[in-house]
Amino acid sequence: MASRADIFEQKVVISGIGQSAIGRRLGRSGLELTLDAVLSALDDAGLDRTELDGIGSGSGYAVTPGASPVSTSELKEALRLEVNWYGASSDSSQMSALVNASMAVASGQARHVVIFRTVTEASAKAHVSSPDEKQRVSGMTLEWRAPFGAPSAANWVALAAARYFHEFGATREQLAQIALTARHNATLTPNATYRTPLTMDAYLSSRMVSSPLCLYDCDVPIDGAVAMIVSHVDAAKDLKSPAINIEAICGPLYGRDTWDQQPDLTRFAGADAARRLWSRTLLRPKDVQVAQLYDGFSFLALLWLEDMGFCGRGEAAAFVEGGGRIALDGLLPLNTSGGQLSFGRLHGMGLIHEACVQLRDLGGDRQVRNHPRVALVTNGGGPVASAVLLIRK
Amino acid sequence: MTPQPVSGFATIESFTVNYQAWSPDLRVPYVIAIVSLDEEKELHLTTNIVDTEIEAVRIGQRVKVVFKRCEDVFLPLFAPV
Repeated sequence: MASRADIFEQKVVISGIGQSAIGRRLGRSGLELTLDAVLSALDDAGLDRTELDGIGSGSGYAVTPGASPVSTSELKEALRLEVNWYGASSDSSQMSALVNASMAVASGQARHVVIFRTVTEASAKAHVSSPDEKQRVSGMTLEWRAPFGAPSAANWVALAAARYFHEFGATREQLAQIALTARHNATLTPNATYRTPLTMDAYLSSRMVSSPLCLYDCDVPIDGAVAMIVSHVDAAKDLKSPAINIEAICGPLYGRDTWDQQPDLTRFAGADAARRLWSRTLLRPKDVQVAQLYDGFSFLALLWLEDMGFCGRGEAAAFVEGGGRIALDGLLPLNTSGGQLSFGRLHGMGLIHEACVQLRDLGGDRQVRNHPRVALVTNGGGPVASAVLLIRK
Repeated sequence: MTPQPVSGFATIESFTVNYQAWSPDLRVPYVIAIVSLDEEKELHLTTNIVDTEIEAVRIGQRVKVVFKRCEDVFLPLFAPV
């Protein structure tokens, strides 16, 4: 294991969290939603906006409608901040905003950095369109998939799921537990997007998107914002809410930048993130008391379970069979506010927010019992994989 | 390194039946597959399986390339042998 001095993230805490209203077509601007989340995070930390000296996000300096409608520049202007450090670039490992803010704080570039993720994907009617034969695409290796009517991550993840089912004998009933668990937890979460109970029958008879993935295996686009204050551990003692320590964090890229060239077509890059993460801590999978595993598609969360080491290779479907182990009162409570499948898609930062809520015992009806103190969060699918281990001391 | 012609024979490594009309005029369902070329098993192509009933497609099935012309591009699709 790397020496403790090399584990920069252990000088970093999440000192405040905030979230805006969450929903479908809220009719509010991305900036309004962002300010709600940021002001809420400041209040949570007990900080004044003038104490923020850093700003970062997974979005760029300019906007991308729907998926990144608010830039770091806009937020800085709105709050009239003077920052020692700012990060303004598209997500690399999807957890980049947290990784970069942590590095800024640990290195002394800044003391309190606000990071945020804002989406208006429901309002923007963001949709993936398949190019007709007159159009050309490039970038993200899309030119190798879009011409074949495979423009969506739903197709790319489905291909891995289909091969996984074939090799390991997994069934739709097993995969269903990811969606059923998420939906049950969402019914206990006041601001989750989909809160009506979901049965196995309804899941199995729902419309297919790309086999074996059905409607309920795909996350829900929403409008909403989540924000966090990332601070140096020395600042944590003075703050209002219990600090959440970052025990280990990573976002590696070892394999090919691909969705279809990996030698093992049943999986993506989660195992790479696991290897890197566990090398930065003495904690192990058995120490994790609550897990928020990326569920842009249900199958990704299934892979994350075995990639992070909660069960053996190819055993995740059996691990979730019946839903008992991943239930709120189970061995490894999973996606406790409904995940991206039922709470809503916040591109992974919403999962970090929920982990902090659980570590602070603020989960209300969905709170995991016995005061969980170690939480794992993962983001990513395809070549993108990142993970963070959060602890409350 | 220069391009070398290959036989066009391949094996279906995975496939999914797409039911979602990603654009209004897209006709569904259709099959998207990842195939591996005989000459280099680690080389995969994402493609469509054509000239077959959807229900007959299988992982492990042998296929051969069929080119579909789109303007100046020839898209490699695959059909069962």
